[in-house]
Amino acid sequence: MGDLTQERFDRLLAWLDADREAAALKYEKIRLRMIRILASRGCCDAETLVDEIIDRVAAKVDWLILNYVGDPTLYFYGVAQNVYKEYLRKKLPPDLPPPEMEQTDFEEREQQYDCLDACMKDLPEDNNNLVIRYYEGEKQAKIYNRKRLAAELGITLDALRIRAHRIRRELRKCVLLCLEEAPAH
Amino acid sequence: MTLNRNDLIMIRQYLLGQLEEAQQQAIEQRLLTEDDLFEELEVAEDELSDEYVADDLTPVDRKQFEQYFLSTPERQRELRFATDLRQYVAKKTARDEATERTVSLPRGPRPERTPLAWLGQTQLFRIAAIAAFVVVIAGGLWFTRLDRHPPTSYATFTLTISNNNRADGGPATEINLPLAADAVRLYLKLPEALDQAARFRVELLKDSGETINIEKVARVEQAAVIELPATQLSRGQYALKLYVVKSDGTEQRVNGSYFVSVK
Repeated sequence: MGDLTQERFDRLLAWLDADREAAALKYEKIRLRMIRILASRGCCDAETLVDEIIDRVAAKVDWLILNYVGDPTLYFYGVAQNVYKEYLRKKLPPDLPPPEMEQTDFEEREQQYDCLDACMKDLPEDNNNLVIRYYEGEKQAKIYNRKRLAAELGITLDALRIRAHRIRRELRKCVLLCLEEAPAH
Repeated sequence: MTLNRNDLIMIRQYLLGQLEEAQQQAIEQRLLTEDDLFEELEVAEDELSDEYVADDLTPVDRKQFEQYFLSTPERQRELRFATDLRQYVAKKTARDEATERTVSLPRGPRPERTPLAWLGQTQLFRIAAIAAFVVVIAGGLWFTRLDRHPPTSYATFTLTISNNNRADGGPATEINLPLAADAVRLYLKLPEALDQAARFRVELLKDSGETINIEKVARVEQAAVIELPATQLSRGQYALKLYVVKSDGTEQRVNGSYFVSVK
């Protein structure tokens, strides 16, 4: 972060919530979601943009504490809109093609796959089975598998989607960690 | 707050960049404040990547996915993860099925015939059968790497059928190595008369005499589409023969060939 002092950051947290722990959670949630939103808009460096947004909100925090009424999250969003517009003005012309896919070589792909293999084996057996069965099959067969799996687990298809997603999220984290720990080739 | 069907559609359109500005802002404000909706965004990201890898997206969504959704390195990494997960599950399932088949084999006297005995009675037929077997194995090896590590980037070429043969020097599409992609995707433009529902098979003949049988052929509008792993492409001349597979399993060769020159 740029000009954000500890004192100002503390006041920002106090504005978000009187309870410091709750405020820290709110702050982190806002930060992560704004990163995701800006990435969805095609910002390659969403984290830097979000740091800029937080700096600008923090710079006005004394005024906000006294005058702002409403959900602080939406104030962040308003600032994000301005920062995003500035980003667009500085960015390359929009009619340029999107960035090329990052190239990965064969060994790198092999390592990713091996990490996935290891992480799948580390999953609790129930979760491992759920992942296999949830992602098994093609088209109609896959839909049928999922309905059957949801029925067996006694949950709705929507609940199954969320459960599969949460396991997948953990799996993804595990793979990233494994790749960080793997020796560079 | 409980999400409704419209929310799910909106999230998907949001991720593909298909919303109007006002709709986009409305959904983003909700994403910041509604936990359920934000989790749905993450689920939809997973599902779009999965559908892309499985080639289940409509042509319009596929294009939006490539041009809009994949515009950040993080999303590209997510796509690779989706690709790996799909392959992992496919391999695991195939292995399990093979084990089940082995376990359920009836216990009885082993057939007395040698492995090749079933091939036929005449020497000529045996040789032909072995040759076909070799071609199938070669094709299998060719695609093993593609199956193990499905590509995430493609170099795309559109080929037009030619009624010339190689000796006549048919118009060859040039592919220059090395490729800046994991695989080549070849669009074989179809003669207009072909049935919309037709299925296809492609035979790829290399000037070295090697023949590869490709049964995984997609249909995209007026083209049959095949993919070849870049790592397996070597320099040389290739001819591709297209066959229409009828509903009764019989095949009809489409007149002419497609030519590729890999340099």
